[in-house]
Order: sequence, then C-alpha cells, then structure tokens
Amino acid sequence: MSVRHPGHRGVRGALCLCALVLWCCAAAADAPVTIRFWHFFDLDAWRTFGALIDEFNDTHPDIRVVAEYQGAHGLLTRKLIAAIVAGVPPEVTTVGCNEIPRLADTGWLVPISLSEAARADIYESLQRAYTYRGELWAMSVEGAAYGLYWNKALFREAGLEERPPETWDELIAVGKALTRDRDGDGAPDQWGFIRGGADAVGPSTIFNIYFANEAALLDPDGSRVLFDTPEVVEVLQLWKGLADTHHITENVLPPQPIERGLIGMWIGGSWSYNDLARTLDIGVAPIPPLRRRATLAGPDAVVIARSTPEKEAAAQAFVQWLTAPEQFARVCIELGYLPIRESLLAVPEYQAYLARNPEKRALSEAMKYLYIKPLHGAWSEIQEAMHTAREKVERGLLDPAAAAREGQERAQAVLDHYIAEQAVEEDPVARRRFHLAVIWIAAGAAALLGWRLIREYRRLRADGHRVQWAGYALILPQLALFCLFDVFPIGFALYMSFFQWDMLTPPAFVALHNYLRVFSDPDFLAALKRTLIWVVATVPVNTAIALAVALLLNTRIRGIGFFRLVFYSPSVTSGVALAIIWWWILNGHSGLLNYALQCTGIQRLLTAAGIGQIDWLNDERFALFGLIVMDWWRALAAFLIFLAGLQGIPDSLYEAAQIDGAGRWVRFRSITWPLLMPATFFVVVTTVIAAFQVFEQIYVMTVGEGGPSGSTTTVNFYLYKNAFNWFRMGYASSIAYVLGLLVLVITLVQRRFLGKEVEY
Amino acid sequence: MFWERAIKAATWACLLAGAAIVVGPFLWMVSTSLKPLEDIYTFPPEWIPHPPQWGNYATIFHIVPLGRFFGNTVFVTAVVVALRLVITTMCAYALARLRFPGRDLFFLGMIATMMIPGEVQLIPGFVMMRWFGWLDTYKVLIIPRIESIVHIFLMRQFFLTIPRDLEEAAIIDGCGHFRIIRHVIVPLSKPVLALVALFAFKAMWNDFMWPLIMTNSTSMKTLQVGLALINTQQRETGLNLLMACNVVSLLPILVVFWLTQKTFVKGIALTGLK
Repeated sequence: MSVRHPGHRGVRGALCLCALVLWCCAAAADAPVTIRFWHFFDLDAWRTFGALIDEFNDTHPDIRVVAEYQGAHGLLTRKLIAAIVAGVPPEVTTVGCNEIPRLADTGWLVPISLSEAARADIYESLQRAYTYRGELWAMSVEGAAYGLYWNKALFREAGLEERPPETWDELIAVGKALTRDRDGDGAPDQWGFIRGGADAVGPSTIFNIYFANEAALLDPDGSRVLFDTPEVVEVLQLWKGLADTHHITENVLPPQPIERGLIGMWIGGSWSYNDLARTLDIGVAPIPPLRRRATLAGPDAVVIARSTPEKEAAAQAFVQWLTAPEQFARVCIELGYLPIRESLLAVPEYQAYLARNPEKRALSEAMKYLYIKPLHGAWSEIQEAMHTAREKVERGLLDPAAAAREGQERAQAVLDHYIAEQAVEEDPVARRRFHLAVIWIAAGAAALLGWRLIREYRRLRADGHRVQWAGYALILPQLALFCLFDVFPIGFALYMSFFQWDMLTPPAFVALHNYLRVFSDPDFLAALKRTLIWVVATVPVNTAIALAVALLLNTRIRGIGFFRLVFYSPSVTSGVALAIIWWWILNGHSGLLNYALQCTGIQRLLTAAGIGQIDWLNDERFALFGLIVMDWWRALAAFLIFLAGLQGIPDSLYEAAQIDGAGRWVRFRSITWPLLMPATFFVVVTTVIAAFQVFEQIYVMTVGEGGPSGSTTTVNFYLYKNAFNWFRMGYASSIAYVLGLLVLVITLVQRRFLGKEVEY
Repeated sequence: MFWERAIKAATWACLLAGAAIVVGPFLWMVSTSLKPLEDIYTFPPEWIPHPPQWGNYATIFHIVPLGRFFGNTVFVTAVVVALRLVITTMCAYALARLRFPGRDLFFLGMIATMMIPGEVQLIPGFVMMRWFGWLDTYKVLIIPRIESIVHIFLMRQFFLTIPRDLEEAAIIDGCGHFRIIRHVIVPLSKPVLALVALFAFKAMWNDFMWPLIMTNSTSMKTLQVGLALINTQQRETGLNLLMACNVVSLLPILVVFWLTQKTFVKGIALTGLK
C-alpha cells in the first residue's frame, strides 16, 4: 500500500479548514434567524398556512420559519409540555385557548406586543379571550365562532321556506319536516338536526346553548363550579328533547352525515364553512337565542415562547405578519375563518368575498356576542365532567337534573382537588429528612451489595473455583444499559411518587399523599374496575380460543402451515395498525362487526332487547366491550405454545388409553389437560400480565382520550393520562407502583394455585 | 371410518371459519385502501372495489412523508437488531458459562425489573433523555432500545443446554471467550439467534410509545408514530388513504413473518415466547 506524504495533506487540510471556518463565520453573520412553528392544522388549513409561511420566508430573508405538524389538539399540547420540560420548545406554536392560563403560569410564554393601532383594531372580545392576569398572551389564527348551519337543498326538497329558523321552537318544527324516511324502510335516513359526533360538530357545541341560556359554569373567582343550575338543566332538557321528544335527531347516525347531505341543520364552527360549501348548498345563520343571543368562541391561537431576543423578535414579526389584515384576509377567504379585526373588512378581496358569500355576514355578526369558556387551569378536567353529563343525557342514562347534579359533583371534586394541589406547601424539614433517608437507603443498599459480592467472591474461592473476570467485561455493555434505562428510571419514578410535580414548576414533597390518594380516588377505582373487567373478559376467552385452535391443528390435518400462518398474523401486526383497522370495523353505522351481527341474525335479538344498532366506540356502555372483542381476535398467538405442548405429549399414552376404551373426552381430561398444564400456566400468567397493562389499542382507538366519558380508561391508561394529559408526574408514578405491586401479587397467587403441578 | 371423516371435515370447517374471521379484517383494510372516498361508507359493505384506485398509494407518498417514516424505521430497526444480537449474546454467555461474584444477583435483578410496567420508565426516561440532550435524535430511538431482558433470559436458557465439552476442547486449544462465542456458541445457537433477531425486528418495527414521546420533528418520526399522526389527521376525511398507509406499514413485517414462519414457530415451541 502506498503512503502519501503527510506534509502536503496536512497543509492542504489546514487551508481547507481555515476556508471552512471563514465561510461559516461569514454565513453566520447574515444567516437567517430560524424559528420553529408547531401547528395542528389539518391538510386543508395547511394548504393556506403553508403557502403563507412560504411567502413569509420569501419576503423576510432574515427570518426562516420551519413548520411542523404535531397532531391534533390534545397530542400537540402533550408534546408541547414535553418539549417545554425538555427545554426545547418551539418558538411559536398553536394552542387551544384553554391552555393559555397554564402555559402563562409557567413563565414560558412571552406576551404578544401589539401597537396601539392594532389593539384598537382587533376585536375586543378576542383580546379578552387571550388576556390572563392583565397580559395578552396569544393571537388568534382562526377568528372562530359558531353558527346555525342549514342545508338549503334539503329545505327546498321538503318544501320549506328558504330561510333559517330564528327560535328553537321554529327549529324543532322545521326539523320535524326535515326528518324523513326516504327509502321507505320504516326508519328515518335524513334528520333535521345533529347534536354531535360529526367532524363539523364537536363536543363543545352545547356550550353555545349554555351561554345563550346565561349559564356561567364557573364562578368568577374560580372556586365553584356552577353546573347544577336551572340554566344548565334547561339546556340539557332541550338537548334531550331534540331526540327523545321531537325525534329530529338520533344518537347513531351514519358516518359523515353532514357531508353526505343527510342533516338539515347543525350548530357548527365557522372553520368548517368553506369545506362544506364546496359540495353542499348551505347557509349560516345566528344560533337561535334563549335568554340572550350568544355564541361560543374558543379560538385557537398562536403563542410565542421565551427564547433569545432575536428569536423572540422574529417570532413577534412572524405572528404580526400572519395576522395582518392582508394575510388574514386570505385565511378568511380560503378557509372560511372569521375576520379577527375591523380593518380586515376593508380589504378589497374580502369585500368581494363577502359579496359572493352573503352568508358569511351572519357569522361575522356573531363576533359581537362572543362568549368564551372560563380561563382556568383545571378547565379541561372540569369540562370533561360536563361532557360526560351531556353524554349521559344523550344516551338516556340519566335525566337532565340528575346529570347536572352528577356533573356538578364530579367537576367540583376535580376543582377542589386542583385548588388543594395549588395550595400545597411543602414542609422543608420533611423534605430534608426524606432526602436524608433516600441517601441512607441508597448507601445501605450499596453496602449490602458490596458485602454480598465480597462474600460470594470468598465462597467461590473457598470452593476452589477460579473467578472469571472476563465475565464483567462481557456483561459490561448490558450492565450499563440496564443501570441507565431500567434501574435508574425505576428508582427515579419511586422517588418522584413522593412528590407533586407538573414538570413545569419545581416539585413539592408530599410524603405518602399520592399513595393515600390512589385508594380514595374514584376515577382510579373506576379504572381498576375496568381493568379487572378486561382481565376477566380476556384471559379465559383468549386462553380457550388458543387452546381450541391448537387442538384443532393437532389432528394431522392438511394445510397446517397455512393455518399457522393465518392465525399468527394478528400477533405480528402493530397495535397502531390493528387499532386503525378495528376502529373502522367497530364503526356504529357501516362497520363490519355490525354487518356481521346483521347477517347472523344477532342484530334482530339486540333490537328486540331494545338496544338497537350498537355504536361500539361512541357508546360508553359498549366501548370497553368493543375493545375486548378486538383483543379476542388478536390474542390467538398463544396457540403456538399449546401446539408445542401438545406435540410434546407422546402418542403412546393415547394409544394405551384407547386400548383401555377411553373416549375422546376422557383422553382429553386425563392425559392432554394435565400434561398441558405447564403450557397453560405460562399462557395464563403472560396473558394476565398483558391484560393488566393494556394500553396501546386504547390509545390509538380513542385518539389518546380513553373515552367516551372515560369508559375505556383502564388503570394503565389512567396512569398515562395523569402523566401526560394532566402532568401529575408524582401521582402517575405512584399509580404505576400500585399497579406493579398488584400484578406481582396476582402472579404469585397464580403460581400458588395454578402452578402447583408445574415444575418451574 | 365415516366418523373419522366427519370429524376431519368438521375440524376443517372450524379452522376455515376461524381463518376467515382472522383474515377478514386484513382484506377489509386492503379493500378500503383501494376504494374512492365516496364508496367507503356503502352499507352493506362491498368487498371488491370497482375500479380499484391504485392511485391512492401514490397519493399517500405525496401528502405525508411516508418514505421518510419508512426509512427511519428501517434504519432504527436494523441498527437495534444488530446491536442487540451482539450485546445480548455476550451477556447471556457470561451469565450461562462464567463464574464471577454478582452474576446471579445481576440476573435476578434483571428478571425482577420485568414486573414493573413499562409506563413507569417512560417519565423518568424522558427527563433523562433531556439531560443527555438526546431528544429528537436517532440516539434516543436506538440506544435505550438495545437491551431486552427477555431475550437475555431466552439466550441464557438456550446456552445452558449446549454441552460444555465442545467449549472445553476450545479452551484447551487456548481460545479466548470471544473466539468461543464466535466459533462454538454462535454456530450452535442459530435457531435462538434467529428467533431473537425476529422478535427484536417485530418489537422495533411496532414500537410506538417510546418514539412517540421522544421525537418531535417530522423528519425523526418512525412509521408507527407517523401512522398514529396520520390517523388523527385523516380518520374522518381520508379513511381510504389512512388504510393505504396502514397496508404499507404492515407489508414488510407480514412478508418477513411469512418467509420466516418456520423459524418463528420452531423458536416459539422451543422457548414459549409469543
């Protein structure tokens, strides 16, 4: 091999390096300030915002905006908090209006700086929505309000006058005319109204009506929930009546009913207008008033993170540019969002747009009587209790008064707990003692370990063995990984379970409080009940199915390879992929499962029992069961273990039994079953552990919510929700330990009862 | 004779019915992925799309960076599988064959940690990755995923069944441990190594929670995370495209499994793992 002279190379290398350094310095001098922009825009919205960002980058050579999609609202919020904790938050991000107080409290946000002119220009109601503790923390990216949408084509078809209803009585009357059985099968296939569950009609729709009926929901100082009030009960009664008394809507409607023109009227957000108007002939009107005229606004917004002055300035410039009249007019025109400032109305393009779409005026009017949900750190949890109450009314599980009472109790409990958490003051002495104890325990454990190692060393030597030091070298990589990624996290989680910590503010020592709370937390106990249901429903069935398949396959049948292949396939499929398929199979209206029920005639029995077509994933009574059905389908894999066990049983035993005249059943009972015991034990133990830890399917099927109304929230999921939805890291850790202990105890008990005959 | 035949036929019928139930959802997914959007909601369902929209598959690569997700997953999976095989073999060999103080303690300690649910480690893991500055890099997707205690357990049990005579001969010839591993242990442990590789491949390909929490930027997302993201974006508006993405994510693992099913089955019978 020839060796090149090192000298030349060195000189050339040094020159290159110098050039590189110089070039980098030069580049750095006029390198644009890069800011990251996280967003939750769907593909439609992204078409417009993406183009705007490109334009911004082109017109502002000194700033570069890099946009990243981070999933829908909930997902983005979780990622955001995680990123804040990690110290790598994006410079600009979209957030839901409700998140602002919490984020502002952490000191992570920078107030939006607006000129006097801009302050006067931007709608006051919007500024109010983003003002918290006297500062403006966000800027709207979607001047959003709700309106009453109506499908003009259906109105014409039904021979109705082409104008939207102005009162609720009128709406109900019109709705009755619009609810029709078009194909003559005795059940309506077109409805006057839809209450929720569609893309354009989210769970917050009813808040429009709460506000129209002057319901406050939370008292001004944020200490009492006001849900069990006449204002709310009246609204729930109206809501219930739409389906139960007037029959202008139903709970289970076909998928995408609005888009497919099956719905006459709905209360929808301004953001869905353009999309729908592309294919439907629709109109928008103000929502009929009750005690007053009101519309809900909870507009999503962009916020700016604290970072370096240059980046903050760049971020401010970007936000200001994006919400300037000219740019935002484009957003309004292309996406149907509402104007956020007075001067936008003067933009010629927007005026032309309004002339083309007179309907938009009605929505724009709504900006004058906007009401926002209370700005409170615990709002998302309080709201969950309110959603649950509404769902129970919709499903006919509770009457409006009882639902309001239950919602009040739950929401108040959540609020009280939140307030108590906020007021926690740690005892510095206790904290110090705790830390001392931790140090002593750690030191003790280390000493014990050292002592054991030395003792073992002596014993090895005494027995005349040579110590093979190479062993340490061989286990070293694994040992390092194990300590870093198992031992330390487990210890750290234990440590954390004695603290209250939201990852954003410093942790507070609360001693055993988290553990005490686990056992008095009704939500935890409910989750535990669901987990136990899951275990009881899946373990025996999964085991039985696996055993049955193994027995069938163990008959020297042809095509065993093919069947093995088929039956094992679900087990190599990822939880995410399966959940996506099964979400579609469990769909209430056109899903495969309901079709199968129909074909097999089971549906007729269900209808006779008064249950009707089941909307598996949206009905809190059946959601968990729907997931269990999927688990039955999925968990066949264990048949391979049984099969291996079966093939290990010698034929001679069966032959002997046959000579003795034993029938099939007797042979199974006295030979197969006992000899299969080790396999059974193994399968049961692993299935039980998996059942206790079920998580992924639920996460994907319920889009990270564990709903409807928490009906699929198992213990493991509740743990996740506490950690990453509500950021109670300490509490989540204590739940994890309780769950771990439970699994351990159950495994030991199983070993005692099932495993007696098993050599292990 | 008649009864024998009848039973055989009944067994076949049962198995075929079972197979139909298992295969149905997969076919349904493929069928949906080939339909135009407006045909998706027809009820009763139609199994055969007419005409099949092969264009859906081209579309998904345009609207989401599926290629990038795919590449990330392939890269991460390949590196982890390779590293895991090396590290696990070394460790299992030491645990099965060498005598040194703390060996059994280490082994038992590892087994004990398997009891604790993985979610416990997620939170501290996250905080730790932040200290290391590994968030949103390939490091976080690879290094913490290398170890698998189950696989160490599996290999150790297997190594214990290998007769020692062969090694003793090698030791007399003056071989070091690395050479023993390479020339004696590995050739004799091919089935278990293949099994570990396959299981590691399966686990890494399907890994979800960890990459979900540890990565932020689109360019670092793996297939499963990307899929879950597309799920929130497309479930209502583009179910056919979502299903097409799903098919793309499933094909490699199903094909690998089909090609290697003999190893899989043998390994499972051998180890009781599923």
